[in-house]
Amino acid sequence: MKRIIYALQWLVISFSIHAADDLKLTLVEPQFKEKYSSNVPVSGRVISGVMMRSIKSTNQFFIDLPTLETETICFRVQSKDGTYFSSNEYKITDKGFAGKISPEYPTQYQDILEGFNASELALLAFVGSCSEKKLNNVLVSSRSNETSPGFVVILVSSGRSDVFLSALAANGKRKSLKCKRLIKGKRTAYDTECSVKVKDLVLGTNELSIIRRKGGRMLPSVKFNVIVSS
Amino acid sequence: MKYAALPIKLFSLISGRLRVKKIEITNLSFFMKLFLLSIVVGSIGYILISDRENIFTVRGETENITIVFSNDNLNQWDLSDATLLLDITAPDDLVTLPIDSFFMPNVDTTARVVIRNQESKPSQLIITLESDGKSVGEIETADKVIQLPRYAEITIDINQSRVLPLDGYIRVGEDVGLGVDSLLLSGEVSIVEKQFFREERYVATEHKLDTGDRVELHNSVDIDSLAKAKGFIRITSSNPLAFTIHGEAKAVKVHRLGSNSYHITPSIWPRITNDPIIAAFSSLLAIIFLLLEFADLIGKLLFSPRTADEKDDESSSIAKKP
Repeated sequence: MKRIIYALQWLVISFSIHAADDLKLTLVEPQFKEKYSSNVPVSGRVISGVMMRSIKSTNQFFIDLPTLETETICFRVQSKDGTYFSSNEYKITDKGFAGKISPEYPTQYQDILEGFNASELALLAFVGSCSEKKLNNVLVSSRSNETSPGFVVILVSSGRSDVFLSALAANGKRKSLKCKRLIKGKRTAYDTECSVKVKDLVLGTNELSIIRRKGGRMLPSVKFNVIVSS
Repeated sequence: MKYAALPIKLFSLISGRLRVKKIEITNLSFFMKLFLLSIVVGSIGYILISDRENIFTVRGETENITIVFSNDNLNQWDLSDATLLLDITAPDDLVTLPIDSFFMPNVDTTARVVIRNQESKPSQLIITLESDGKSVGEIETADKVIQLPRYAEITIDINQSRVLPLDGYIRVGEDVGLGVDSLLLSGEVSIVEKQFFREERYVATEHKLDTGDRVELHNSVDIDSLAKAKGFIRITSSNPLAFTIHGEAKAVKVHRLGSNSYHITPSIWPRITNDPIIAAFSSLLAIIFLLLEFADLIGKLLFSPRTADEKDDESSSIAKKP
């Protein structure tokens, strides 16, 4: 009897895994847009990445997808040293799906992407078109299906300013956290890492803002929403 | 030139000895010579490539410098007349420090010092302090001690010259990127090396830095390990920060735009000209070669066996005698 139960469990689990694998975000345009060279144009956005750290860094990316009304999301990948950049729009085929989903990513630089360590590659997925100037609803991405629980990391291109992350805590009070300046290596695409505890985020929309101070002056704050679905 | 001839000499010595196998004593002499040569060449090689104590000096002009403080007492900064910001959420709540206010940082506090030039106003020095611990340190004034939080910003109008001493892990300059507005302007790295036996030192390497470089002292070329250094920043009105940093290290790492970062390490060639021990050993090697060549020549003249032609010549000359 136990064996039958185990066999059924195995069937259910393997079916669900394969079902998740089959359900992928597909590219809107057939041509995959990516660049790798010493002088790749860097995105002018302050937010370069919103991601969960992965236990193992692979080149199979995952996006924590909530149930969305819109059909399109933009997924950007950029390396800290500014040598790699990709920006592509994806079509959500099953609007009812919520959970981790792997976008179609036909890169020709697999080895190079795997060579970037945890802090050297920023993933940014947001709802809407890649051409949108303002970043509104950001989704949490990861470099593998196995994420290390605890923190959501926000990678910021601050122009070497002092960065603080302002988040609404579970008790309703706004909390400011000092972000950490990245020191090692070239910091062309981003230079700061903000970590926010997962337990400080709520399921659904979280209003966050990036506060910057540089040269004795406050810079305009950058507000955005992080959507957590699982 | 004498070193260039070394392999030729060795080859001629060996091939010459292989031709003359007849006398046992000559073989013994050949191995003795080879042994002697190996010792001298090995000693020179060891002295040439052995690890030395190097003092790295980085000096120049910059618009920014970053230090992670050590626990050295040198790290006390005079912040008279400075303005202090303690809470980022209340940027207008500033505290003006009185004369004789001294900042004493906690260990591992990071200080970023940036100069900001303003038109028709004195330049401003902006010091940002941050720490992973509870406090970046404290400021002692004549009548009280201000305990600082994990983040603080200090602004000083530069009306007079100041010197900020440094002891810790120092980085000069920023790598060029979006929004970066302060850089290393110019500088040079010099490496002062200790002689092999004596306490005296000589300048082993000098290297110019470019505008926009980012420079760090490292304990190793293979792993990212910053070396502790001492130095100071001299601050004068309307000028960039003049800095001098000294530290015992293995390399200076330079991050340069458009290229991979590289290390500046002492070259072995200045040792040949500057280290008297190497000069002495080189002379010794030259003398040994000269003596060996001379001994070889004498040996050939005195002990080499006569050839058949020589014997024929001798016998014919005896036969011709009346």
